[in-house]
Amino acid sequence: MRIDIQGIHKEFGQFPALRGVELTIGDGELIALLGPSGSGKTTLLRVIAGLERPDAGQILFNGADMADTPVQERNVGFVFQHYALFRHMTVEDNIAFGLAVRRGRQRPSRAQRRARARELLELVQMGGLHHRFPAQLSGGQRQRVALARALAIDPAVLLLDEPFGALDAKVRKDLRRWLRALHDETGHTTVFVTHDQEEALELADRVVVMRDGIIEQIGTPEDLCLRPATPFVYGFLGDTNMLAVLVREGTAWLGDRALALPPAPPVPDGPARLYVRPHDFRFTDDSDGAIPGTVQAIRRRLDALRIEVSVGGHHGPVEVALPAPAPAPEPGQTVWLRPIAHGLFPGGQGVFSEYEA
Amino acid sequence: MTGQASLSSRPLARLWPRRRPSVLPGFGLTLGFAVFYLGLLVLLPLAAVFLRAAGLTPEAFWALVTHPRTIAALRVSFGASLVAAFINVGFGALTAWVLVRYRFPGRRLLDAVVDLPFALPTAVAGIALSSLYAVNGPLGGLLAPLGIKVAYTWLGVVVALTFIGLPFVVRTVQPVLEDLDKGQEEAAATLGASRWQTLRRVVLPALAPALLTGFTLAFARAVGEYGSVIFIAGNLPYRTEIAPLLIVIQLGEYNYAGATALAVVMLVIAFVLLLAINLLQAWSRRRLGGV
Repeated sequence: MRIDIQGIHKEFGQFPALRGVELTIGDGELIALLGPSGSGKTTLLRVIAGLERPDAGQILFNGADMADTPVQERNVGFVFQHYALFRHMTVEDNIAFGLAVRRGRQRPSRAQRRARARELLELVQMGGLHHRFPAQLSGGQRQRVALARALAIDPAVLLLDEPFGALDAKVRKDLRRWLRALHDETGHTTVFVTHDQEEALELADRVVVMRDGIIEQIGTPEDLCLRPATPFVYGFLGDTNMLAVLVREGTAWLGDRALALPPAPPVPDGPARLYVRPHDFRFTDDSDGAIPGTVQAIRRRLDALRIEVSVGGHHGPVEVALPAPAPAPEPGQTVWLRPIAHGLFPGGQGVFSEYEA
Repeated sequence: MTGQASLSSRPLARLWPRRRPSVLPGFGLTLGFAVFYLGLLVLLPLAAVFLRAAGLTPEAFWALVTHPRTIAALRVSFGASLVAAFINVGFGALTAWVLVRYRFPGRRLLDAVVDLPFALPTAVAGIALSSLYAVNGPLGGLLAPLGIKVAYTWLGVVVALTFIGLPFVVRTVQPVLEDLDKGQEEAAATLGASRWQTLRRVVLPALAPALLTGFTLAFARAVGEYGSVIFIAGNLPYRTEIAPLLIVIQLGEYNYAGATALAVVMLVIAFVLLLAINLLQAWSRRRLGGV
């Protein structure tokens, strides 16, 4: 099912949670809503479900306006952050709940409901646990029961609020892969909320980055990583260094040094911010157009050496990541840094250098 | 024979698993104190009641407790208490719901008002209620043309018992309702459940143990109530006379044995009822998966 989100505004008291959100979700897509807490991502999910009423704007399901369709009739499968399982019901009764509350001829017989519940339990790899109560399950198992319960009503869209937030890292990773496989198998249009960038990038077809109730960027994981649209996205997705520079006649100046940056579209003259990720710096012997600095500290990580380089001016130390086997400089040594990829933002829209193939 | 042998060879600890590892030491001491305290405070006076009642011959005891007036009084006491407890469960739960789920001016005041029946001397409550519901009182005057008489009728007994029992239900349901995850109701809604279905299948089962506790407390309190009822009941023998009043009447006639005999009967009935409700409660709690 296609979902069109048009000009959605939502306020809680004086606090604007959503400020004009526009988004189209294609049939069968797996979309991540990514952002820090308070960015409005959960509110947007609840507006889609019909759990919150927008102050302005429209939600269209396959072109049909949902404004007057209550949550009970929207046929959405919603998985809550804390699962919200019915504590007094067995796993089987939890899953069959959506079928049991149907009316008239649409309500399957008890045997059919049981069969469907068992089938879904197999799907979420929990066969044989139908008689348990939620209190007798682990966090990951509860999560899967919540998912099975949402799938039982054959939802037009699956909405998940921080689905892996309360689980430990190992379980989270397994469930993530499993959810992707499940999506590919069942083909539900799926929207999930997360504040974990790794989760969003690994799982989603497209990622929607939100901040303060507006969408900062919509794009594939590839887009987001290589072409962040705003300084916020640059900073939110992974580590980055920010340097205040001045652009004059197409050249970026750091203090009194003209920087030789990789080829990128021109930026208007004036103050700008230069973003470079730690692994996009290279040490160089050629001082021309490079950034001079002094090595302050070296830290060993699993995947790389992290080197802090002070570059003078008002900046804190710049972080440089060296691939593990590379020869490391000594603390106190003077080095020259050259970015091999960067983002340059003159206040508004930014430009990027592409990695050379 | 063989079964008995294997039973006796089993370690004693497993037959009587009284010690489990605990973060707080002193199981023996605290258990001893609790038993002693309950014995001194509750069991000793009750035993005295039974002892006093034993002063009657079995025939006299039987004649007293099967006297039509006694039976009528017991019926009024337990019947009106049950009805009052049921009313309190319904409206007490509603009150708790309003106090927990809605924010409105004066909420804290209303919250405090709930406790008033706890604090008010019951005689004051009785006098207030009877003057309110008397045929010439402000509420009784309104009801009289409709043919409804409250003061000095069975209905009056129920009103008084409902009044004193209300806080028990509100105060037991309130914290449970506060802990109740609103997500469960929203989950039910997304799964297509109507409001009524959500209430019946999700909210009420979650509240059931608390409602039962509230019911038990309100009921127990009502059975023992004396002060407020006698003012509004009119105390007509066979009609609106409650069992505690009958006991007081016996005492007034210096018939201590008779009074304690009635007390014994009340105690036994109340104990059986409370035990039954507690078992029901344990069962409903287990269904919540709390284990």
